[in-house]
Amino acid sequence: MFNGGHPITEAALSAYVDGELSAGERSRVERHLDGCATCRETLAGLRAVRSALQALPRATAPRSFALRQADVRPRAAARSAGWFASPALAGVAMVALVSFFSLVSVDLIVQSGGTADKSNTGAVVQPAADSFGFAEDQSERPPDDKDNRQAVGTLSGSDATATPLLPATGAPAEAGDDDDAVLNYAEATAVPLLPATAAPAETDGDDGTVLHIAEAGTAALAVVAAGAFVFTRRRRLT
Amino acid sequence: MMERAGAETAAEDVELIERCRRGDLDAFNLLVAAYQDRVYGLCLRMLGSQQAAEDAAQEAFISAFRNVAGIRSATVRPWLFRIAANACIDELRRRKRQSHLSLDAPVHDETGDRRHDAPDPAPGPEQSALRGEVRRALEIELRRLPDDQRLAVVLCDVEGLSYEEIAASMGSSIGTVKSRISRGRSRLREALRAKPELFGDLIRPTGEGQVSA
Repeated sequence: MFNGGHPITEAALSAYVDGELSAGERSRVERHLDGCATCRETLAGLRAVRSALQALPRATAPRSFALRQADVRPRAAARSAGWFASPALAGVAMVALVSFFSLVSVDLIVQSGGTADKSNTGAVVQPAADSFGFAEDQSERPPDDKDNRQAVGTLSGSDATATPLLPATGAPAEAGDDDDAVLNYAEATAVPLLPATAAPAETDGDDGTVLHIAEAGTAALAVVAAGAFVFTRRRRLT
Repeated sequence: MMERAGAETAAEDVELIERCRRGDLDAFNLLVAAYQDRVYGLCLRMLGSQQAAEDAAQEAFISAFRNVAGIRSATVRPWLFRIAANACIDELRRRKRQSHLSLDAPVHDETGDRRHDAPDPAPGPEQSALRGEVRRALEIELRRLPDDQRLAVVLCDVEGLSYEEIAASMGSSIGTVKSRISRGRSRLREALRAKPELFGDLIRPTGEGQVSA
């Protein structure tokens, strides 16, 4: 701000004007001012600015800003009502995301167990998994649900909704009960989006396909809900 | 050392705040009455128009009441100014967004801040130590400062806060405050020097370097 090489900065002069320098700094500035006309002129300018600003008229509030109960209560209620939609959408997005992870885990367990037919890996599903970058990551990790737990742990409050899905992911997919639990959920989420493709759930060879469809369905649901969440928040902020 | 008005009210404010903390709206309104001129004045200097300043001040007091349970400051003033400053900064950001979004937005304020040029509601020149035209020119130069420098300069020179209080109000370090005030004043100093016909009485032009008594 001030000319380079000068021992006293304009910031120091400005703080000097305000009496905000330590005693040592103050005497250093004063010693310098004795022999430097440039700094004296700068100082005079800063003082002039300061006193001109201080001479500006004080504003007076044109009305009372006293609050009434009505100013505080209804707006608080309106705000909390307005916020309802966003957490709901965020919750849907989270549940869908968690089930997506769960299904991917089940899928990997099924595949590593050798029961799934690799040739059934549908073209419909693969792009969706790739676009998230999850498919490769997951295949390099042991097929436990550690990642799911971490994902759930970051969102307080969603544990209750997410927990019913986790037991299904922890156990290998041989047991029929677990499969049903997953597939019931998969149908619930995937059917509205992919009505035609969710049907074949009978033969062993189709397990992989159904899982992939369910993965795609939950992933799509997560994206749609997250998008809606972001959209409603942006609208509220503007 | 410069005198800093208002410190004597701190103890009383803390007692009031204790009542406010318990949700006592009457107590909070005493605080509003004590500070509304200064909070409004800060908003007016920051935003430039009476309507915007009123809205921001009202918003600030509502926000202050909602957050009064969380107040930890020993004094109320920097706390209130910080909330008011945030309300102003929100409004300034909103304006910038709108002027970017809208093709019909008026010409940006390169040459005199037309967008904010609402009638000045401040007292007339007879109530100010400055001549009317000088005062108006100074206000315009003040509005041309970057927001952070304007806030620091207004809190310091218009509101009379100490650097420590300004740092608390702006949520920044004292070093940052010092630098913002200095840069803001430096710009104003240059602007005033460029118009000797208006500010000649305040600042003598370069060449008359000596400080006479």
